[in-house]
Amino acid sequence: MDNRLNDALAFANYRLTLQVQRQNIEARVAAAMILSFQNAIFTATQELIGHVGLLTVRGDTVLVSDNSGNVIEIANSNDFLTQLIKTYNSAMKLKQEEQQRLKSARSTAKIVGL
Amino acid sequence: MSTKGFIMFAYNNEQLDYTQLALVAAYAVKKYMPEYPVVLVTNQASLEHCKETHGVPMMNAAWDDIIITDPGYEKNMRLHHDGAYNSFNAQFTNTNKHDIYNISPFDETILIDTDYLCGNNNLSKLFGGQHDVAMYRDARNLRMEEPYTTERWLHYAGIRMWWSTVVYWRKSEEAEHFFNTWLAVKQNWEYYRFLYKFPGTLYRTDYSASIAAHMCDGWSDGGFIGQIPNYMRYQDQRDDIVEVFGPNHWVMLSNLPEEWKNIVVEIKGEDVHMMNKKSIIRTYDKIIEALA
Repeated sequence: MDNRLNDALAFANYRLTLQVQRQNIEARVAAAMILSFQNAIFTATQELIGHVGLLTVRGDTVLVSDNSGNVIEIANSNDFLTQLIKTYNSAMKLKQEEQQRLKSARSTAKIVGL
Repeated sequence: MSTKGFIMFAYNNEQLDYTQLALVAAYAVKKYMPEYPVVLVTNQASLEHCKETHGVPMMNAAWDDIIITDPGYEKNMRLHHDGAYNSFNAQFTNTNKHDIYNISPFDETILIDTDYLCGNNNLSKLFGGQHDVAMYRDARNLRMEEPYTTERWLHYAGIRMWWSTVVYWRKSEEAEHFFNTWLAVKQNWEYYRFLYKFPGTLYRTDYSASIAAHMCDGWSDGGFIGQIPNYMRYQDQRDDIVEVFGPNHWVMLSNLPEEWKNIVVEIKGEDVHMMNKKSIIRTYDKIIEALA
């Protein structure tokens, strides 16, 4: 096979592995964003943090939808907010570390840590 | 105070040592959720084999209790793949999975298959949750792609599939209805196979649980079953393990029938349903070392 084609196919393999690895990092981050609070399961998103933060500052009742669509009245919104932020930050830190590692991975083997 | 714990079935056959897989699965649960007990359900022959092969200290570290129950032999041959190039047939004993409602000693139980390896503590968040029964609805393979249509739908014009790989339930009237319906589906498998129009003769608990869920929900999809968050990551039977870097850190080969499309994939920090059981057995020592 022509060397140029060989190189192109190797590059295509590298790009595919990189793309899958990026998606796998997202999957790992999605798993790390799951939070259990008051017998309900939530995903610590920016939107939820912003919403709970605003209601907490205003001193309003905090009613939020869990991942299954059940409306939960949060008894201690400060505690909930703290847990949401902690979960979100830890997931983002993980994502940042993985992205940094990927940036310097210049071969297929390096992408997957081999 | 309700009791909570994990439970798993392991019935060996000539090809696969399910108790060995169960040891790995139990060690993974203990690694990430050490506060919860793990119970093994097996038969006498598998238990004796496990004692001889792996030893009692190993078993004591994995399981808090062992329940002996034998569902008896019902022919249920299953084609397994071991990577892209090997395949074998083996008896698949899964005919009493629905009976776990009566077997479990816990008020709240998470049943996991022996090839489901926990990589974090997310499953424990199901305890005390809003649903009496919960399972995975969606799955993604090593490439983050959706599974084949037959793993998502029982029929292209039929109902969605629930994965019975992980089943959470709380002892309740609703959960009892679900498991009793599962039993009825199992007992009338030919009828339901015809009614729900799915192919093959293998008794699949994913399908019987999905039909039971559909029936209990008033023949609709109305939220009777809770969805386990996100999706179930799985390694296909054609895939393989290349390297074990840690208790939840794997490098795997994602294989396709076309060899030139195979790629390596790194999985970290997630639960993984390792469908290629022999890949676990091949790397058993490394996995146990990482989990211990």
